[in-house]
Amino acid sequence: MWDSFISLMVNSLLYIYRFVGQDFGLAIILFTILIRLIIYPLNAQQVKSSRALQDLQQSKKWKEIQKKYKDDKEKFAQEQMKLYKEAGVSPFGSCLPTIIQFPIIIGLYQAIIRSLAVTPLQLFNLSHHLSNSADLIPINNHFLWMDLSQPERLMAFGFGIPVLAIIVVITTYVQSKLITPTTPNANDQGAAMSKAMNLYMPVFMGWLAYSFSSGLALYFVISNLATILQYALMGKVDWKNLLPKNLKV
Amino acid sequence: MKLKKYIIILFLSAFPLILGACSGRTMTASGWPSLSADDTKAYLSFNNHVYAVNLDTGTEAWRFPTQPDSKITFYAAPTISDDGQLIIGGYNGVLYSLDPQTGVKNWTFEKSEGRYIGSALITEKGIFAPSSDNFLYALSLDGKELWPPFETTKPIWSSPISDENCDCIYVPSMDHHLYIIDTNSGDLIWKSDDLGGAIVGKPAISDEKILYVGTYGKEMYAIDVSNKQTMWKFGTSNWIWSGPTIEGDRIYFGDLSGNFYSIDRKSGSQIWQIQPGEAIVGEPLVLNGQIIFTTVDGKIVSVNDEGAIKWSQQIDGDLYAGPIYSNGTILVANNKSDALLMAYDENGNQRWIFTPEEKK
Repeated sequence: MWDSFISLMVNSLLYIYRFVGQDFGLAIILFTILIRLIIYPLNAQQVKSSRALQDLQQSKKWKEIQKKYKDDKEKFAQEQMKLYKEAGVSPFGSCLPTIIQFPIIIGLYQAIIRSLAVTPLQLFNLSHHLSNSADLIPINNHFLWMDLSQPERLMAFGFGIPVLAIIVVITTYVQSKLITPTTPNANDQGAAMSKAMNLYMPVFMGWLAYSFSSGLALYFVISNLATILQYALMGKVDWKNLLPKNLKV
Repeated sequence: MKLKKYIIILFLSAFPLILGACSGRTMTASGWPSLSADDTKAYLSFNNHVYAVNLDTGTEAWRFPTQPDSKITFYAAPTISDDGQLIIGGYNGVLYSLDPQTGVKNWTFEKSEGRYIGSALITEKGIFAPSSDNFLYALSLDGKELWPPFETTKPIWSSPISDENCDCIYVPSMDHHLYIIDTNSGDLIWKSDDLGGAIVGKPAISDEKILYVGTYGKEMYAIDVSNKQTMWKFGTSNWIWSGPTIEGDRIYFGDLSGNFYSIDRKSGSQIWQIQPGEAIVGEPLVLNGQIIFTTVDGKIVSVNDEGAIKWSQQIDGDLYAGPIYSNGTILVANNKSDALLMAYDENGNQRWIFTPEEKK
């Protein structure tokens, strides 16, 4: 089943590749946007659920039961469930869409990497996935200054500068700053965790972009930009988060 | 809170592994073992080494490099020159000349920016090495460039072939074209029309100057290279990776669906077709009335000229490279390192198995 799913992804990607005049970079960009559009309802649901959950957790009622049952975890859990029910919020409402998206995103990665097929074994494996795209093989790996099958470096003054990895770091940071809601209580555990993730994730994604094929790094950049745009369209972007604390009004 | 931290750490650790499993970013030769032989030794390239194996005993004579170097990996089959050199291209873009007796390096050529996947062709005119950087490099036997590299528009994975009757070589490319190049100057003599798919299998040419070449476009072409006309093309069920083998008035080859074909060379009509296993990638071997080929699911199959199976062996492993024959021994390269090379007699009886010794 997974193989059939990958075949579908590979063939869709190559269909776009053919459509855009055999430019694989452009195909990755369009394919990423297309996938983001397809999973948009799931994302919207996730954003909605997570906001509702957050609002509930910051409500007066929540804090009251938190205080009241601080020594009785079982009772606290029961009361929590009651509150969830009353507010019509599922604690897993924001997790499920993410879990559903995960295989799609892994499938997208695999479709990109499998289509590039720069080694004999990769090409042999690709042959199992293709329906009617043999004439497109081998894929044109070049996009702008990049070889999409290799980690990207822009040569300048004798140095290889990982431009795309830097862009991935910046866009991941901006994205996480923009879409992470501010919590009134800075000492909140969740807020601390979000703060740490906002720092670690850009570095981590940057490291992946630095080490892996630039086709993936390109996907990261487009995906980050698409997320920002999506949240902006939903009115969930807090641009003030980009400003340093002392400049915030 | 602690549990969440552990989940995040686990996720961050597992994510690169998930990606790494499918990225192909390392220099590991994502290929399979390739093989050649002379009268006394088999030469096997696989991952970090080229192994020389004594044909009579199946023991290792030498390996190159002696210690594994993660930057050096091999896929292309070594080629032996008449003047006693073993020429092998690496995934690192370096073409090596080795002494076949000792494995000692004679010289290297390091101009390619791509990987060597197809084997070099060696003629009296020189060494012609195809590279995945789209170029064909022409060198003298001492490793000096003969003429500027010949460029195609896509990688060259197939080995070129020569023609004794003209000072030319035939170079198939993944850009769907076949090129005829002057061996003295490197000038283009002729470029075919688009053959409908990438070419990775080594072509074969008959005494009548008919060249047979298979493509990913699921077609085997017969091209008369004297008048550059396509005589016929034969449609197959899947991509053709295997180069054809000429025997008498027929050619034999397989496709990636596992179909093995016997085709009339003159008319292009099918004489018979069998499907004894999965994909056929390697070139068939014709030997004393039997046609021997391998399938990716580990079968070594011998058939007679009517397509009836004479013998077959199922081995534990995947067989991508075709069998070769030397000094009374059929050699089959397996991609399992505990049985990397296997030797059989003409009746399919196993003689020995070569397992490279682990060296640290």
